[in-house]
Amino acid sequence: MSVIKLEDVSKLYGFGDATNIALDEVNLTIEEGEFVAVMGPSGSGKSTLMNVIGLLDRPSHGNYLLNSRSVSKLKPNRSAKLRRDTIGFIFQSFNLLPRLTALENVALPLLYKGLGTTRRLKQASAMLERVGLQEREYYLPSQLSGGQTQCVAIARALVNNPKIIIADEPTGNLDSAGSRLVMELLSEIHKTGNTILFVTHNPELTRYASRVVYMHDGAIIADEQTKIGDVARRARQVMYSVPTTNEEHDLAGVSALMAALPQKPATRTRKSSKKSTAHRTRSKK
Amino acid sequence: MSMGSKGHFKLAVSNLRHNRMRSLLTILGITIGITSIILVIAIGEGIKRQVQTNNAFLGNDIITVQPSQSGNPLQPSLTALTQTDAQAIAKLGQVSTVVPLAAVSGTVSAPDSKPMETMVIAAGDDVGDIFGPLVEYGDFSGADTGESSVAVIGTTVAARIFGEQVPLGREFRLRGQHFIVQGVLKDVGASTLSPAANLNNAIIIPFKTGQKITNANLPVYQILVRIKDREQMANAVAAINDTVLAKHGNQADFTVLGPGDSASGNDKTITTITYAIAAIAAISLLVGGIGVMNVMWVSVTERMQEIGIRKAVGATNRQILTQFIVEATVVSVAGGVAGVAVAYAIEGIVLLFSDFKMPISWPVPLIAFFVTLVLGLLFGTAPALKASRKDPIEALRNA
Repeated sequence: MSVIKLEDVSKLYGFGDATNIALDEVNLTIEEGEFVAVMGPSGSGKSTLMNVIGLLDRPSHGNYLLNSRSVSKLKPNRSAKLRRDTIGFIFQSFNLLPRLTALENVALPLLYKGLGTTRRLKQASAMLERVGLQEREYYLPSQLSGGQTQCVAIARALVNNPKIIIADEPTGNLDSAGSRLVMELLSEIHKTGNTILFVTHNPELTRYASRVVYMHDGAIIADEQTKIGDVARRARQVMYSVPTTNEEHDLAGVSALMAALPQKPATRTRKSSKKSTAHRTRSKK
Repeated sequence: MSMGSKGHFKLAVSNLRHNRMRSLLTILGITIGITSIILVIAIGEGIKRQVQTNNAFLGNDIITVQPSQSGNPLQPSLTALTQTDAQAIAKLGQVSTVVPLAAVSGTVSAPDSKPMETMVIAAGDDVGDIFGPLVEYGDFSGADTGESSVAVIGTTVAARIFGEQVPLGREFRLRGQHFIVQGVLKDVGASTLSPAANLNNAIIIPFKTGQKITNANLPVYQILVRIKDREQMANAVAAINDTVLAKHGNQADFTVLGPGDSASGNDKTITTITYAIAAIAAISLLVGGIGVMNVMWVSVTERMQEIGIRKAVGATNRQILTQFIVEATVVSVAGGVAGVAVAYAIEGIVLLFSDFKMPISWPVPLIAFFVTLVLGLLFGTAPALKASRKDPIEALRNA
């Protein structure tokens, strides 16, 4: 059974000439237990995709089935509860509340579930232990390293035992040690049966994924299954076959990556979208 | 489904602590509003008590009858009350003592002292029964012997005319009549606005002497009535009212007051003025409320990211709404509590340096609590709605 199924999902911002297409009729099916890496340049709609899947945002068009249930037109309160119970969200900028301790931050989702203080803190404490930070329970986020902070955020995402973990560039603000810490943790979580989606710019990190989805201009332009432990084929191709041109490319690893990938079909009008979708579907196979 | 109210309260307090100065200033706005309203009403109540012309201080079984048009007891409407009214009241079954009081004007002269104007009250024979407890030295015994009469004098008079505290047996003249001091009243307190205080300045003489020296049917400015059974107070007031009304040809030109009642006229004016000023003071409370709203707007804008994070981890709109409303209400109620405390403190300080009593009645703290509660809800709702309706993505992007 597919956990996540997006059917022609679009997300538009603005009106008229200023309309910005963040997601362009995306079709994506994710099965339970997959570990999906999403790659693509800035502005390709990765974050929007994560937000829509994470129920933080609603698609403008199309249908989103979460656990075979249509959730694209849920009321804010309903989606808040669904988000609370089924999805854990991890952000690039950690998004911990700076005035709460690590423990209190982790306990936050339980607060909104209506648990009593004691049970809240107990569960949060157990979760911090799981991410290896039991000794830092009473630290404020500002007193933790980047990697540790993100681990606290992961503990917070996990505390409600959600089936799905969505991480929007979880390692984007971290050094390599922090990245490693965070990815190893996500990998461990994946082994316990969670479905994980994460966005990354770093081809190396596709080693952790079982599937890599490439995005460009709001559309999925490639989708490959990969063996866990190996860098994804296309990403590898980029890394070894295309010499990086400058330091910026080295850092982002993105421009080169995208250059090596099949380009999205030329600009088209909305009328011809059906046809081009078909075309894209073909090209994927 | 939702977090407990205790959780919301704790959260609000911790957020307010974080912005200590701002919270304190906002609370101060409410405090000033509540304090000024409470004080205005208390001052009004205090003034009212001082000008009350009933004689509650004499005891809780005393009924007062007085002309209703008169504001000043020294200038009663001449037609209002007479001695015959007093006699008619005395015939009622519920009544034990009736004392008509009338004002006599004149200059008091004593040997070795300058003649001076003072208030002279001609009181009915049974005055000792009602004013008895007020006598410090001597008593109301003795009567007009024709050649000389008796008087009971207030403490101020004693000091000013005779230069001593207990001038029992001393003599003075009034309108050619010779008087001997039989008693001296206690100091009844110097509440300047009350006629009761005038007893310090008063000379009380027998009614008959008063009639004799003025050669007139003395206008009665007040009739004091002691009733037999204080349980029958309302009954007695009604009976006296009916009796006097019959005597006056159904003309209601007098007022019958129980011990707790206050004289009309003045009272109503003071009440009106009090509430008018209180309404003006309420504007400051309104300004305080707007201060709360302003701070909440700023707070919501500043804490957009926090709102986004809370929503992202599963807070519903309602939970965010509650959080911010509780915060506004905590500020407002804290201001209310502080306002009540400050009002009581000021009342105490005023009482320390003067004897002006500003009675703050018991429901005041309760009312202040509810008013500030409503104020917090009222002015907290709009900012809280803004916070709760914010799209989580937009809120997070605000960081």
